[in-house]
Amino acid sequence: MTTINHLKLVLKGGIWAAVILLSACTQQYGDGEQRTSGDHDVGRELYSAECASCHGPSGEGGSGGALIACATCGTQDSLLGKIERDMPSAADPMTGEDAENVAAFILAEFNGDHSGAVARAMPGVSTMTPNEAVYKLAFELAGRLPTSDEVETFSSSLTGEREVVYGFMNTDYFYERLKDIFNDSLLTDARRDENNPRRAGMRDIDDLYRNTFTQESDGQNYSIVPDLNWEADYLAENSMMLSTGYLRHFSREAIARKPLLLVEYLARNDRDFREFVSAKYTVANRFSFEAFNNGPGRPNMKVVDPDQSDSNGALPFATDVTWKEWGSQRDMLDYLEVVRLYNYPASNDDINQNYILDEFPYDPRDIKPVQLYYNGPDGLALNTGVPHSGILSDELFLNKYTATETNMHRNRARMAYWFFAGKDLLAIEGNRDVADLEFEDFGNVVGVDDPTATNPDCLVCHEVMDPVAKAFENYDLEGVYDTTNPDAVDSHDGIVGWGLSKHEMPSSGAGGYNNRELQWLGEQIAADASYPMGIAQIVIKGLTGQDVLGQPGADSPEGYIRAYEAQALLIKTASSEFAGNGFNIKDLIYAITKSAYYRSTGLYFPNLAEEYKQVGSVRYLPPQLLNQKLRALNSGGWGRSLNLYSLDDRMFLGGKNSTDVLKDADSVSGIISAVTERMAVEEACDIVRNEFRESTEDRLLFSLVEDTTNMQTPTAAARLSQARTIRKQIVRLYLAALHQEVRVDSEQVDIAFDLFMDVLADDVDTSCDTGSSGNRRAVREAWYAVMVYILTDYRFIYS
Amino acid sequence: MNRREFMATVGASGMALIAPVSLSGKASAGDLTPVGKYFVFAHLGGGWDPTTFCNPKGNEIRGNIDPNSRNSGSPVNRFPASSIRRAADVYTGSADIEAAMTYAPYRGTYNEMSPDQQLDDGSANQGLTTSHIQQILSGSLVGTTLTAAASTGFNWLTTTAASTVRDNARAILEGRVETVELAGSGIEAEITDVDLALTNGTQMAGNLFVFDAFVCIYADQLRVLNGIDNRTNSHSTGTTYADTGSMAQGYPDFSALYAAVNGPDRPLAWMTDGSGNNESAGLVARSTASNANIFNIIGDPTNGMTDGISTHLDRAQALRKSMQAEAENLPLRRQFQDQLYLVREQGLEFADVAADIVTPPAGSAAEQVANDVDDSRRRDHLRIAASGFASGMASSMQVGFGGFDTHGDHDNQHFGRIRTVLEDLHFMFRALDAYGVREQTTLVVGSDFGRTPWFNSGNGKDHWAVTSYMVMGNGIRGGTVVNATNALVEAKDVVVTGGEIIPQENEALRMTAAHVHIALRKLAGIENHPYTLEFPIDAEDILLFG
Repeated sequence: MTTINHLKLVLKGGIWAAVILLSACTQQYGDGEQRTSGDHDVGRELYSAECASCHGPSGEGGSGGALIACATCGTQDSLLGKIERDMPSAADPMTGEDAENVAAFILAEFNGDHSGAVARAMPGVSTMTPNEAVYKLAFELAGRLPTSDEVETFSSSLTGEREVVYGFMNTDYFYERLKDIFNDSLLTDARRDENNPRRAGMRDIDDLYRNTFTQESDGQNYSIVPDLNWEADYLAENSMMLSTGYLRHFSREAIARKPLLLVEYLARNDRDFREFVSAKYTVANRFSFEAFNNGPGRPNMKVVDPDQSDSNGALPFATDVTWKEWGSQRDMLDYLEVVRLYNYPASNDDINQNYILDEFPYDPRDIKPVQLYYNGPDGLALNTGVPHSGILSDELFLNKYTATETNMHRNRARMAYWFFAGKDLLAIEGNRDVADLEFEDFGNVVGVDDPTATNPDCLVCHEVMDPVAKAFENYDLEGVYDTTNPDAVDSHDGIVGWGLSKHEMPSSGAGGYNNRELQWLGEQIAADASYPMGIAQIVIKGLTGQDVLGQPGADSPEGYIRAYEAQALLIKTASSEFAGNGFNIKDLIYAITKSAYYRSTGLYFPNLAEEYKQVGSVRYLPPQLLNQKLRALNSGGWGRSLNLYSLDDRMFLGGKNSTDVLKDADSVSGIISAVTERMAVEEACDIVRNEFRESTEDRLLFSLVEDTTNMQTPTAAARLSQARTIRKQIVRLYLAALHQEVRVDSEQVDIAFDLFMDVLADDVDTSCDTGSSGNRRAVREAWYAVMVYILTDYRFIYS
Repeated sequence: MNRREFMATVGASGMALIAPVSLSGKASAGDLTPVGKYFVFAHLGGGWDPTTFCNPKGNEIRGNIDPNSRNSGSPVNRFPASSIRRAADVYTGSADIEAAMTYAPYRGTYNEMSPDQQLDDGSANQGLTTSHIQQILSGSLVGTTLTAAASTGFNWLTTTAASTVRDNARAILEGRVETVELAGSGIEAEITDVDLALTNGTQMAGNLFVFDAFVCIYADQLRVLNGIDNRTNSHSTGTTYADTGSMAQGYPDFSALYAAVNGPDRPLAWMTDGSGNNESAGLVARSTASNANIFNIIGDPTNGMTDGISTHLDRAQALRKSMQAEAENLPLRRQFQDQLYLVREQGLEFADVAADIVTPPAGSAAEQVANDVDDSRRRDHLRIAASGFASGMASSMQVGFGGFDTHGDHDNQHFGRIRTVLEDLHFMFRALDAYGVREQTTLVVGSDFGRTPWFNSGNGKDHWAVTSYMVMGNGIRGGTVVNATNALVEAKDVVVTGGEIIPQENEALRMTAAHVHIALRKLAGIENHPYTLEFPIDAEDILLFG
């Protein structure tokens, strides 16, 4: 095994034995799943002789690229093709049985196999305790603290752990978080109102659908979809009192986030996530459904049955369509509170006068598969719908990754490989070697001929990219389906193909894919062994905040190579579990969050630091998650010196807007540091006041203590009892806010306890309004000091 | 535990995985003495077209240059060669400006074709000439209208004093000239309007002359590096190469490396707006500040809310840090923990300058600069970084300009993008002046790569590996041009003779982004620092900056 082999090189025997021993101790449930290697002795021998000098003894790379999750490491076929073409040299490549043996060895040893599972233990690495894990996952996946039942069940067994985590993944918060996770990579939220695309000089969905998503007929532009500004007419026609803002919010969210709504639909319904690229439908909720069906030539959208067979790419319509309504006002209010993290869409009257439930009671969480029909030049909906293929054919996705007359959809092809196969085409030959890119190598004819069609150095990439790019040819540069090629994009030579193994599209005729090539491509991608790796990359990035690392080159630092290796293994094993369990996205998330990589907390030996440079899931929390963490602790969210419900203020704390700031900050500068100190003092105050305002049983955090503590009580036993309770409360604060389990008699608790006692003794009155007076105030002030202490800890803003 | 004690703990436990202060260029932990040498790396995202500014070629049809050339029916530029301007002709100072330093005319000040639809072959520019530009720069500014000096008897820098010309140029760069009036100057009779951006027959917008104004003021500080081969047409690879000097993954941007060497615990050590490669390799935290109002908080983080408990709180926090310094040994956790506590400790020093950043002293140059931010996040970033340099809070800055990936409608977009760059760089120099660090600052302008020396069917330009860099300021021999490209924008090789870099057609040395970074590291004095040695660049030192 790669990691172990490598560790053997750096560890002395005695330490190694201890590592193994400690590693066993960290296997909390005794089932440490390590990847297994088969019997590949011949391949191993050949690899050592012919390959290891360039690619490293453990496939970590050297003067040649890394072989862990490499671009051609998806299948035996693709890797074999690569070896037989030019490895170890183009002049004398390895072929036949030798090449097969080496390919099999590389796949098994460095890339796991599809029966693999994530490692729940790593040698020399300590992982979270069950309590730490359940608190972290409750926050990460459900945006709240775990209940006592969940804590107990989680710790009871693997089955219990699984049950609790899947429970977290059945919350409304999870589905919002899941969309954000996908947006971290896809960045399709660029059109979301929340992100104010106009300010960044980009088009919002009004501009897109009214002006950009148009076609031309007889020299006149016409709209391909109805006017999406439907809500005002709808309200007037129906004499409704409901606020326009409420309808606008949910319809525009469903439209602007349509690619992500598909993620939510698949997750909520536990559907096969391969439909993300192959679904013969797009999705809508009742709000966006109304918007798309608002035109005079409607219907432009019909609900379809995704479980029936398609006919030439079109699904049959669903029968007896009913749109789910809010189950109760409580249900509605709870959901509005979840989405409030970004926006609270309802007016007071919508709630107090019951306008929502009376007039438009539809539940925006009810997402349905639909077929979209463009309008023709006459303003009427066409009879033939768009040949949907999940996100691949989504106009917002395609508009985000636009084409040009000259790149001829190659950008889209490259992104399809990256997002949905985990393959970076730029890395096919490893990193660019400067010496290999001399113009002289092109015979100095770059200015004469297009080298992408002739030069082997270019062809190695273009021959797999261009056939995929061709599959997008029936979409215009902006992303609208149009078989007339209105942008006059040159045709790629050759036919549509997919993957490094060159699967080719069936020709026209019965069962042919003419004019719906993306549907064929989507089916190929969904069936490809690399698809789960692409999705795993997206989810790992979203959950850990870590970028997917590109293949190291010969000059890459050792630490980077180790980080790449560890991350690549996680991608590979997590994707194996995902694929092995039927492509349920929740299985992928569970696989990642149960891994030792995700749950690692420390090292048993300092000299392992270089080995595990990037292992772990700790990261500086994006500001909306920081706000949710505060909400989970009953602060109500930060809305004082900064308002984290506002995008502008979130950006002060390093947040992105998906338009011109595409990445959340990943570390804390002096600015963020100072601002989070302000947050800590203000929110500690809010938490203490809010908590002690509630009855003990209704509190989220301070459920063990009262503000009537009296440490002057004459009875020693009573004082001891109170001290014990305070200490237990402090333990709870560490766990809830810092996800750190400490013993009640530990030094960590001593520190906070002493702080509590010192402040209590001083009877101070800070400018924090704790909401009480007298001794109660003094006790609350002491807890305020402890909360400031907790919230200023680095572990609070890093999770 | 105070900061020094904390650092001692860090050192003792061997935990400082991010740039430890002991390895930084700072005299000691807690030392916020200004570095005294600052770097700004401006990345033009998407791949800029140097032929639209500092490496102009003209509109000769490619096929006339080489019948076998690809896209032989297209010119490199739409402007005629005879409209290309020489920097020396519009520069007002006493420094020598090499004749090779030329720049493109701004779109709207030249005709693409003659009235009979013939391409200019280099001999018949019928738009504005260099003399006309001199007259405009020498004009009389009243309100927002700059009236060009008359042709009759015009004598450059005599008719109008150099100081007035520079004032006019500054007014153009600062957007204070809305209209250039040609009426009465004689220019209107000397030009032919085919593609000129004339309104009312004799007026032109002031911002058509930003290129000229920038060169007028800054030519003596500018060194143009032409014929740099970025060796890729890939945005991601090119961006990495341009900003780090290496195509290998895991290298830090030069600006991040410099900030790390000079103290990662400075509160704003590496000012970056997140543009370009934006890679720190974990050496230093990113500081982003696009709105000065945030400094109201930074100046007093706790806002008096810990008065009365701060002594107890400080003790508790210090104990906790001490304990965690030992306990947190997962590299990632340790890195993040160190970063936070290092900058937090130093942030205490920040209160003194934070207020001045929000509200610069009345009547100061800094106030004028602050007033000209115009709600631009980039300008606030530039202004705050300048202040950060002066106060010892920061040592380097990364700033980005977008929109250069002009695959379609190139000229219509690209000229304006470069104009924005020049206007904002002028703003930055003003900010650096206001904070007294202009002379100590070096600017590098780079991009993913260049753009094709032809127009595609959508009037756009695609990716082309050969590009140009511009360097200015401290340590740069200005008024100079290094290397060249041929008429088809293929890079020439160079030989270094007697300290001069001479273009050579034969195979010699191909200048790349790696050479730029070798020179940058040397100029910064960090070439032998342990951090730098962690990220080696294999290229020759060819005295690129003079």
